[in-house]
Amino acid sequence: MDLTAAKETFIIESRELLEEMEHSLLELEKTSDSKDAVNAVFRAVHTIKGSSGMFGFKGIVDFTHVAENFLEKVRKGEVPINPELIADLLECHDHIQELVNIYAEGSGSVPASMVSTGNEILRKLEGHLSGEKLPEMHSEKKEPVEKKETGLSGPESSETVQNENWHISLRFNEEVLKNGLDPASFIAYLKKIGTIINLTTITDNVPPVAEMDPENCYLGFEIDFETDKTKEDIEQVFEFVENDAKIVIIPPNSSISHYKEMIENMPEESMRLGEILTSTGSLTEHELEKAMKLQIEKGDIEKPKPLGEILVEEKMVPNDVVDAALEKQKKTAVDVKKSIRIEAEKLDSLINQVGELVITVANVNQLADKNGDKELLEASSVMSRLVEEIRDSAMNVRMVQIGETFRKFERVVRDLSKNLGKKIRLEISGGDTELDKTVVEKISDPLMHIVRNAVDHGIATPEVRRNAGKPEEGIISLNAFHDMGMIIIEISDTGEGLKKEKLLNKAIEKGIVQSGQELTDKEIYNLIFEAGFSTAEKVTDVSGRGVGMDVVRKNIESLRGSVELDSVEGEGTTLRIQLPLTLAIIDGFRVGIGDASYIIPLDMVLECIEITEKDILTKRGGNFVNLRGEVLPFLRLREFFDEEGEKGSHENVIVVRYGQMKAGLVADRLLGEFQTVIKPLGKLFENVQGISGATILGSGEVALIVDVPRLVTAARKIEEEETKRTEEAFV
Amino acid sequence: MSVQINIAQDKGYLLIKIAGDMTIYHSIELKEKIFENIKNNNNIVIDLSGVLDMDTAGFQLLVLARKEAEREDKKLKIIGHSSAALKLFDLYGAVGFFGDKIKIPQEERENYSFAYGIKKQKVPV
Repeated sequence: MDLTAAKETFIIESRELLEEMEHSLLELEKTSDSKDAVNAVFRAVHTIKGSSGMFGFKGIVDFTHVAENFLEKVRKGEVPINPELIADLLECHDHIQELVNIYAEGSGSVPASMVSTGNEILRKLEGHLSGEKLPEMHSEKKEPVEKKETGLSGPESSETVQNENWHISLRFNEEVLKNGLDPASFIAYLKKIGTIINLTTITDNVPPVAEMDPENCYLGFEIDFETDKTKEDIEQVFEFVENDAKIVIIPPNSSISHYKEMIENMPEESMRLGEILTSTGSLTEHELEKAMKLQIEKGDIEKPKPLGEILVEEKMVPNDVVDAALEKQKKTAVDVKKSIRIEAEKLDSLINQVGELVITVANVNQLADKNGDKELLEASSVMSRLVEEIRDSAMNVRMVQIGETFRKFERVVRDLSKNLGKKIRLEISGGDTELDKTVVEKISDPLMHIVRNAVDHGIATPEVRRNAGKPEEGIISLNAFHDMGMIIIEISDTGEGLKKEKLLNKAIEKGIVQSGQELTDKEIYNLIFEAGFSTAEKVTDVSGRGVGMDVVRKNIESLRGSVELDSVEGEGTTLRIQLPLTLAIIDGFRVGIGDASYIIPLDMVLECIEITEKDILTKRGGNFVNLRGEVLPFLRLREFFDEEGEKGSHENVIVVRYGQMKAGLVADRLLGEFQTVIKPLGKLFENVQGISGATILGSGEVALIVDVPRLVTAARKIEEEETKRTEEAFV
Repeated sequence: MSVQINIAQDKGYLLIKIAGDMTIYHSIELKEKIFENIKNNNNIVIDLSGVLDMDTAGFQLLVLARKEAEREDKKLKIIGHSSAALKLFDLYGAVGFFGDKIKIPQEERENYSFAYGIKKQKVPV
């Protein structure tokens, strides 16, 4: 078995569990009686302890063992849940996270300073118990352990159980019956080589009627068995079913740790299995207690081996048990997500290949067109459709929900607001909105900045809020949704809002705005995205250094997105981020201007109309068209991009929408839909206005992708200026 | 070989009489028939006297019925354990799990060990 792979799984899963734990703790802080949340916290710690034990990560086991012990008491309701407890448990969470990181980096042991931090945290937890003591965390001392002939070596306690019988644990795979094997025949055969002293059929895993497949096997067995035969002989009984079952055979008078291992490795709850073992007399109550408490000690002083390896080597546990135990613990997580892990690199290369495929197909299409061969045309159109589907599926694989990113902010908001003495609640909606993985990754930092800003500047202290007649608790809400092929992320707060005067004065002071220059409200608010702009009266460690919002805007723009801000003084601020769903391939609409092709993202195209001279409103500049009674500003792409080449006989207007704004883009020819693989423009063209990227056409020519948001804004601006000018003319 | 399932409504209870093979080959049919009838009755008796063969799949359906009864708070009784059924009950230590009275003629006693799983136990739901 490849343990490095398993270790990686362990680390990834531990991090997931820790995230879950953090989330549950924050949940618990809001609703202190949520049983589910307490259970989730317990489960996270319990599972991490179990898996780290399997890999011999002693530092984690030592700490989590005591923490688990404490959480068990919380679960039983013996410890009152209050904010102090949550704070300490969060510290406990952070500590486990650090421990996991230490092992993730490949370090085998925990530095002494970490051990003492761990102890401090545990003593804090102890403070929540009324007088009771938690067990001491094991120090780094290592006890020599003698190797036993029969059982497994490695982690064990020198104490053995009184049970003089063999103990056999069987858990059959669900398919065993379908494979033509019947557990009954194996157990009957077992009787031939010895005496079954006790047998308990485990029925816990038989699902409810609706989910139960009558051809599956859900049973397990705990058997106490008396025989003078060897372990091999017993193993032989189950030889045929080896691949269809989990089998653990524990020799008579084995050490308690073997039972502990078994209990941990079986699918039932530890407590329930322990109950069964004591009721059948396999273990005494006292032994069970020991088994539950037992610490996993490193076996060999010189070179400690990961437990999983030892188990497998000693054939104590079949290979798949170690995997299965990890697997099983995964299943106990609240919602079972049926998914597989793929390296991001593999996905990226898939997308690249699909991109090349799309370009090649375009080429084939064009050749088929030229050729005029009907059958070839038909085949190539079918291929186009299939490639389009492949493209969609491939893109879909990269889509992830934004919820996880949002959830990260729960802790940030909590800790920050505590720090600043504010009361803030974070509300999240639209967490299941999906967008491209790269976009999610890249938007995380700007979002973090915005959220921190909202906590620091947006929402005032409870006193200030109370004096202003507002509830003490401020709300920051995060919302995400899809709109017109874009994803919109809104961050709003019920805070102070931006002070227009202050912003304007600051801008004038910094020379960003000339005094006397007239600005709309929106323009004033959006000044905060200018470089070197910060209105915070004092620089805190949270924000206010004046680098920030301009970086946020740059980051968002580098994702082909945009950001705008709206605010009402005294009521709050809303930031709207618009982002494209994907950065790789889009459906485009191809238009021709002169000899060149341009691509307009199809999602933004509303309709296409043909215009004649009389539709054009005869205002100065003539940049308007009458669209069914609506005044639509338009922009001639030919003029905007300085294209030459022959003009068409008439002009086509492509009506595009961006946000709430509509505008027309005028082109010579409409060339139809085109699957567009976005190729970024080189550094040299970074600052070219109106172009967001390029793509390669089937013919090998390059077409530029039109930056619709920029152009719409530009067209609107011209309209506003025109209107102003005409108004002035009338005055 | 096949299986017959007879459903009869008797004084205050529903009688499900199973005869023939209670095995994986008929487990889908058995599950369907048994549970479609259990659904609407609170007092159920399953008669196993006609069962000629029982395997783990058949046994498991009885476990399911027992658990379902516990879950839904229904009364479930199993009667007339045939020797095929009883052999498996004995092997699996399931007598206590089902908790039904079992009558065995004296001369057949030695066919079973009844060494374990005799005491009545709580049914895990």
